[in-house]
Amino acid sequence: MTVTEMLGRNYKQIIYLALFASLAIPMINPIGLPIPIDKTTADIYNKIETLQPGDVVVLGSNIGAAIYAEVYPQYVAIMEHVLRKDGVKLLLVDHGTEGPIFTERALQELNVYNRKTYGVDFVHLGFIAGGEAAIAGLCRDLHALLQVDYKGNSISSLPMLDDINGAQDFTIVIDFTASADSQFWLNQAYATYGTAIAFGLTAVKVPDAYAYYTAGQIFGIVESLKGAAGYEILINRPGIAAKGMDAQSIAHLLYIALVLLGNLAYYMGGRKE
Amino acid sequence: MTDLIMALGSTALILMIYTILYRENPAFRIGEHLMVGATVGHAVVLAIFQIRDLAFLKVQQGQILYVVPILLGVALYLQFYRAYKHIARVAIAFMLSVGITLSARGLISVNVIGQIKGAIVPLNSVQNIVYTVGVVCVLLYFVYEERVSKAVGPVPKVGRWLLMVTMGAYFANSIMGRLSIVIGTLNTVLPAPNVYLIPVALLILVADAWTRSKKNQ
Repeated sequence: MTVTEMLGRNYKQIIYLALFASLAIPMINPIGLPIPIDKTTADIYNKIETLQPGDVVVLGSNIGAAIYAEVYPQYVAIMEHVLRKDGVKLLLVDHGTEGPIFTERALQELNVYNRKTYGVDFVHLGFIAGGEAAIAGLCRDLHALLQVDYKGNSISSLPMLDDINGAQDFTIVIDFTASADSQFWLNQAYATYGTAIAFGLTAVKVPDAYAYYTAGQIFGIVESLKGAAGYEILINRPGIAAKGMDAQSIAHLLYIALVLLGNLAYYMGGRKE
Repeated sequence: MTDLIMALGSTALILMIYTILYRENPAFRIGEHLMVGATVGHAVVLAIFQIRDLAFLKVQQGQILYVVPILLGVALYLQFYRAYKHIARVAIAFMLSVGITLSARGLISVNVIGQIKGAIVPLNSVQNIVYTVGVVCVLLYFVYEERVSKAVGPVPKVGRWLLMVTMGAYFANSIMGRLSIVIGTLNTVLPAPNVYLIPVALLILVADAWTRSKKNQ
């Protein structure tokens, strides 16, 4: 068998196995490759560091099973950072039906119900249907939009919300998503009220968001698992994202090798159509 | 005990979904249908709560105008009756007009004015120069007027190359995203005792492959 014939064969199962090995082995035996921290991630960290008691942070979430692996570690890392800032109020809102499950999971994972007082330090508004209209309503007057929070408590019974009426009271908004709700926050909170916005995104959505970042319309982006890993390092709480970065780097090397091999086969095979 | 059952259950479901890499099979279909069923069930329950919280509660408190969106919502279902379909169109038109009006203001401000403002940068760094040259080249690529194309020479071609580099970045990001998803599932699958389900799954696949090869003979 010639090299060209060998390269031209279908190695689907072998590629799957190699990919599994390249991901699983570094996760079982971490190599400890350095994790670079992007400027887009550091910008969010620095912004949260400047928050003062009484400031309000809104974390929007459209996390679901499909994007859980990429975005949930970002959500947990940033929520932890906000919780470490004494006196900063945390408002949680979900834009997808699966959002409340993961928000509650993050609150449990970070032991927030024991560390902070519900209704005083943080509130979970839950899922609000309506897409952009819901975000517009939330920005205009959340008391007019909502009667109860995720737990069924009356909005008027939560002391934290006494002084929070809408986007003019939000210090920063960080939206975690792979959908259009990030654009909705820009349209309704940034464009109308000038609220500072940042995104936690899946890798596929990051190139779109760079246009807003370079134009100064958003102050930061957490980019997929890589950004989450960087944030975990910044807050000195390495978690599942940092653990997965060795695997990601090795798998990327495998991809590069496969692309090179594929091109080699293509050129050696006489560039057949 | 509950945690153990939950962990083993989720691992088993992940492995069932991944069996599609071997071939289409009942285990994959069970996992897929459970996933879709659970998601839809949860969404339906949340939708009912939303109607209660955002509309019915307000009507009960005397905000009678909220009857209008409730009626418009009900009208959407008239889509399924030919005689009353035109009423559903009113509700759809209302939703569309509200959606367009809401987005229009923000979209123009963010995607047109904001982006133009953002593209005007001082040429005092290599990054800013590359950025400005990139914007001009790519914009000229989308100018289809013949005289302009001739006047600017190879600039649109540079724009096309820059667009291809951008597509490469998109594709590389897609790969990174897909790998992150696998890493996320491995975070569930690899810790003990979940990991012991992998050899069990492999044994089932090997047995299936062996049975199929016997049948084919």
